[in-house]
Amino acid sequence: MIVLAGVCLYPAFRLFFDSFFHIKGTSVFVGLSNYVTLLHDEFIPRSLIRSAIYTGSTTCISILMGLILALCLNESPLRRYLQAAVVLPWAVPYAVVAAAFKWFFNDTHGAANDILMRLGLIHAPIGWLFDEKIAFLVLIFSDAWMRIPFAAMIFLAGLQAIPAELYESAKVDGAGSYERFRYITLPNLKAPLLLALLMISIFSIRTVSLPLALTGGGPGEATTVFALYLYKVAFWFMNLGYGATLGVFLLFIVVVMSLIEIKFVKVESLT
Amino acid sequence: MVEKKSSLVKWVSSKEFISTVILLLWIVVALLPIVFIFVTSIKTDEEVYLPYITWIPEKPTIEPYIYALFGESSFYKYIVNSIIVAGTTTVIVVTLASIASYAFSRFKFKGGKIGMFAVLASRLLPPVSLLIPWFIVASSLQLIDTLQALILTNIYMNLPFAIWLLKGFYDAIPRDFDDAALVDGCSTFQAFRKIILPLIGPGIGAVAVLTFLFSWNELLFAITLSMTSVSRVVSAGVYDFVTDAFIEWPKLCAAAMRAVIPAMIFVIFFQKYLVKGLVAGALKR
Repeated sequence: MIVLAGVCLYPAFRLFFDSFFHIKGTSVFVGLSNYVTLLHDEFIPRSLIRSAIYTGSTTCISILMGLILALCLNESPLRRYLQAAVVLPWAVPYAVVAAAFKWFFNDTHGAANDILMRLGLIHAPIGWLFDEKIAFLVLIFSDAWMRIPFAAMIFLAGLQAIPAELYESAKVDGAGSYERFRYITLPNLKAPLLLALLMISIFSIRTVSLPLALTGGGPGEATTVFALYLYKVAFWFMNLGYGATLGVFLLFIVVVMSLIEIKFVKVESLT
Repeated sequence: MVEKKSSLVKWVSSKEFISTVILLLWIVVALLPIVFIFVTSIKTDEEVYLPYITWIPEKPTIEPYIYALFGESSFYKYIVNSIIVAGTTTVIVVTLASIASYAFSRFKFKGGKIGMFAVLASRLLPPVSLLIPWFIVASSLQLIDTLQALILTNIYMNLPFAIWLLKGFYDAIPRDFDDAALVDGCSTFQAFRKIILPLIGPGIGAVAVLTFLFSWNELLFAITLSMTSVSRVVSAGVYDFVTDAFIEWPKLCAAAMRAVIPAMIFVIFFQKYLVKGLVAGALKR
């Protein structure tokens, strides 16, 4: 047990330990100086705001769309065949997601401009990944695209776990389909909701691969979220010590965020 | 006549019909980027750079695929590497998790709760934070640029969730089953292997799907811990293409298909275990 706990938690301790060193080839103990740098690093508030918007929007979009798709799958007679197709995007590796969207939203040869122009929605091609705001939206869009199937799976599992007798007895008592949805389906989806909320927000806030491969953090710094900034500090500028300090900070954010979410869903479940 | 029309209206406005239409619409929109990748992967360079877009290639070619698979002597090795990494990880995680979670579920021992907490807490650690200490340790152990480093990473990242998921399955099996087997003269291990293990089949399936996919798709560690083609896996191979200053799109798209097709086949065959597994394990009431 001690060995297991040790193996599981050692990296966290090691991370904490490394955060007190200046590591660039050699390792020198510098005490709290990395933490002082962190407090004065004006890049941090900017990247944190980006992370918050990014995580918040992908989580909300994925949960909403995932719920809708799960409800549809649960009703559809073709479920056996459609389920696999709905899950498919989830199987796509980050690198391919990035490649697919980089190509799809290519300004001159991409499909997005082509489709929108054929539909007459736009008249000139859009430079999707060259505009700071639009590039950020593309990032959110591609992240949500990948996570919606995952949310749908969790909600579908949740829907199937609701006993059919509940619906039947409600029907006997004269509840309409809206009442059945409101008073049976929704309250019973609390566990999957919490699971989806936790997993998607934790996964999103720490995503490095997607922005790294999709935009590299650009244009300018428009898509450099906090986790990506951490990666760049540690592995592009090879400042491992300060990177570890940022890593401790990210861990702290993830823990606080998870606690708030657990609390939030529990409070909700009382009503 | 009137009756026929009203039944049609009824059918069109039925829940079943509407949800199927929504699903089909979603599937078409969601799969567009992947379809576009596929279409591009069978085009010639000239056709890709035409001023307009052809959704059905005029002159389909398999040249990009030949390049992506055999173009440089190392490319087919990426696939072998990916299979080794994802396969080994899956086998080890399934084995360890099925034993460990059985212990967590059945035996009361000192520190059991702390152990379970440690397992779950390690799940919260962001991979990018883990990457730094792991990079330092792996350098000092001379593990940089080896498949072992990637396998160890993937085991570490997948084991906690696997243990947690399987524990739910074991908890759902009444203890009487174990006791009955013991009374009939099985050893504890026999009871576990012959009676309990077959009952958690869907759980093992779900864990295997999740672990295989995570390991196959993992990118962050794959690009940071590997320097040369010795330990390059397919996901990192795509990354190499996509960050090039000048991207040759048909070749990139073929490389992307190379990474995505095995994962998709795997998901299509095993996704039903995932839902079953989640129903029985993670979301039990």
